[in-house]
Amino acid sequence: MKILKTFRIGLTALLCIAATACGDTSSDGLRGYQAPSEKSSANISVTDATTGQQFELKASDGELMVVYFGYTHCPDICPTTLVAVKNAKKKIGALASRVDLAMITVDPERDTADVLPKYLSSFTDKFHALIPANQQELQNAEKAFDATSSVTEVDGQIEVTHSGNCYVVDSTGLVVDEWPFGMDAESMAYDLKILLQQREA
Amino acid sequence: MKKTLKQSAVAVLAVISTIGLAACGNDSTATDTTVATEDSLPATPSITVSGQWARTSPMATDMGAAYMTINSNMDDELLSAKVDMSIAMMTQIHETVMGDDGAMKMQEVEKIDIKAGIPTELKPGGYHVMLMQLEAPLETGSIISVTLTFAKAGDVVVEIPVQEEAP
Repeated sequence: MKILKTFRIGLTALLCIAATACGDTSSDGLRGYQAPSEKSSANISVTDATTGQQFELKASDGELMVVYFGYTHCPDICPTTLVAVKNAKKKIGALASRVDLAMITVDPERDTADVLPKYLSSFTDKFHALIPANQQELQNAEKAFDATSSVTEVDGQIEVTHSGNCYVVDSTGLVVDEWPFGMDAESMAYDLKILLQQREA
Repeated sequence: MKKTLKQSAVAVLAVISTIGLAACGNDSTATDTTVATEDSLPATPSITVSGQWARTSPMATDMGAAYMTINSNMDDELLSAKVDMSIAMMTQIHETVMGDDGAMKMQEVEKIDIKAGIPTELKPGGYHVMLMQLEAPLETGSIISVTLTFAKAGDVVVEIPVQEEAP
């Protein structure tokens, strides 16, 4: 009986260690989550529509960057998420200056350099409008986040699928928090505050 | 006498319900405040729309979406939504769904089933009225008129305020 009890305690301890090792964010008290295996976008670059240069997917020192895959013809998921990010930034006051937004379009045919920066300026003035120069560039970026997308034409209409998550990336490119679609602005703000306080400017 | 009392009670409830609906500020155009009596309940379709809003369209896009909650006193079907072509060239009813790979996509639906007495929500990440090829941006504070067509209730015109977020 005692052996069984010891086994149970041992199992519980192992599970706790495993949860920590797997990046369970509950210890940080975040409302988002971290994937079981670490994600990093270090050394992954996408063309910045504003500069025409390659932009590496990591935040500036002491800052965070919210990375999102979407497209401007999306009337539902994308604006819902981007408005939530906008309002989350409003809720954290001065800290918002340390939060960048990078949207990578999954529909580069229609989201040109004339379109994407204007679209993003509706939500924030601190952004990177990223338009993959080719499919490989998009796939490399998606692979870093375990994201996926597709653009197909069905009966004359363009159908787009894309991952709905936001990925919060630090200055090393590490994904430190992940927000599923539907996470509200208050929860985003809650996480941003904690994560920014851990990274003094 | 017993029946008269019952009828009176129904009448009083009908008046209270009507006042209640008006007090809640539900859209007057969209709301059919006809309260059916026991006898007419199965025969008179009555649609109530509440919480309706259309999203402010971001710059550089000509797509929009409208959301609402639909109540019906009987099983019905939302068949289509239309707006004047001065607002958008095309209007469809769409649903956002998540695929097996976790990716989200929108798809047009032929109809939305409305169950009697159960609110049907059109909300972000689910059903929505999709406004395609907007003639002009949907600006916060403006109001657009959308005609919903139901299988039983027929056409219901809803005045929808444009705002950044759900009310």
